[in-house]
Amino acid sequence: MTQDTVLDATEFTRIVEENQRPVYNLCYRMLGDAGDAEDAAQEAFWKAYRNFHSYDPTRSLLTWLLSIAAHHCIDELRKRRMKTISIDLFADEVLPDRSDLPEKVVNTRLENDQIRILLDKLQPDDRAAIVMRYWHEFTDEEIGMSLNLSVSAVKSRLFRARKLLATAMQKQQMNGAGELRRQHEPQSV
Amino acid sequence: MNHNPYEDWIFDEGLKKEQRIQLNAHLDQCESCRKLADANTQTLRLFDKPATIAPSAGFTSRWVEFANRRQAVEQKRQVKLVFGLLTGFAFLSLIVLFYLYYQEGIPFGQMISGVIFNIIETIQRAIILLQSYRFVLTVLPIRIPVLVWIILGANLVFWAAFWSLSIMKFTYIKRAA
Repeated sequence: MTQDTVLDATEFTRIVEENQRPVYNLCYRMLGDAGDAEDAAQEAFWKAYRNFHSYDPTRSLLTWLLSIAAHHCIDELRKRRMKTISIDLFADEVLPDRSDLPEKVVNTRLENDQIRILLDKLQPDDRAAIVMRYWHEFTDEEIGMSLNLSVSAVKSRLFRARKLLATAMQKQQMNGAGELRRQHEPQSV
Repeated sequence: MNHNPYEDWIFDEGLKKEQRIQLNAHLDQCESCRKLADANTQTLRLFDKPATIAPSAGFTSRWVEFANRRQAVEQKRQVKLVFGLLTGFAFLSLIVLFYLYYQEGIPFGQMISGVIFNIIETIQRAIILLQSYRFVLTVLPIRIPVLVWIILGANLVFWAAFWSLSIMKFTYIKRAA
């Protein structure tokens, strides 16, 4: 698809179909809530559709879409100053897999909650850098291009974020290691 | 025990081999740094899991609905903007007209009729302008014979060439000078 191509809605719908999962995933990791992630992903695709003329075909389309989504989520986080979300909201957000044993489901949910709590500690920009790096395997250069940062700034943000996350993880282990697990275990009668 | 620079090295992904050996040696001795390194490893391992989160079924059709809604909202906004601008312009014109009549000391009744007359005259002029524009675009190309078009085109090409040559000549003279 070239820059001069007039993109019709049907063609963009195919792009939405193909890229919805990674875009939604980034929004979910950034915002920590399924409803907000859906809204953000739809808004990100809308922005991409409206500004498709500015897309550089030499760049990866997914990288461009994720960059739009990341910017949108950063703005949302700055607006809302979102802090804590009820853990119940995460109950049905993991892809249903019939082969999953209940214990495995519990563990996955536990991990998702742990990730959300850890990511909540980070500033929006740092969170975006971490999500892009560890879930979407972006290089420092790609993160820099997506977030309008220099490579050294990306490195320093990732370094700072890893340090903060490890400290938070240590505290989580010391204070409430069993807290999350207890919330997910079935109640004994 | 001095934890510098090891505390920072734990989070540095670009460590050299020697630094890595030094860090491992320090971690063997220092429990505090070892716990921090373990926490870092656990965090990164947590992030290493494949993404299992996906939107609920029907995301694309929901997006199409969303896009249609947004498009309708944007169209309404554009219409409102154009209407607002036209209304603002008309309102400003009225104020200017009233001011001009007031400056000339014309009585109020005459002022009102003058303003209405001016508005009607402006609308009539706009209609004539639109009609002439349409005439130039649609009727004229059909009415004028092809031969006339060819003569006009040839004239245009001649004068354009003449103009280009004169420009070139002046440029050449300037450079030569």
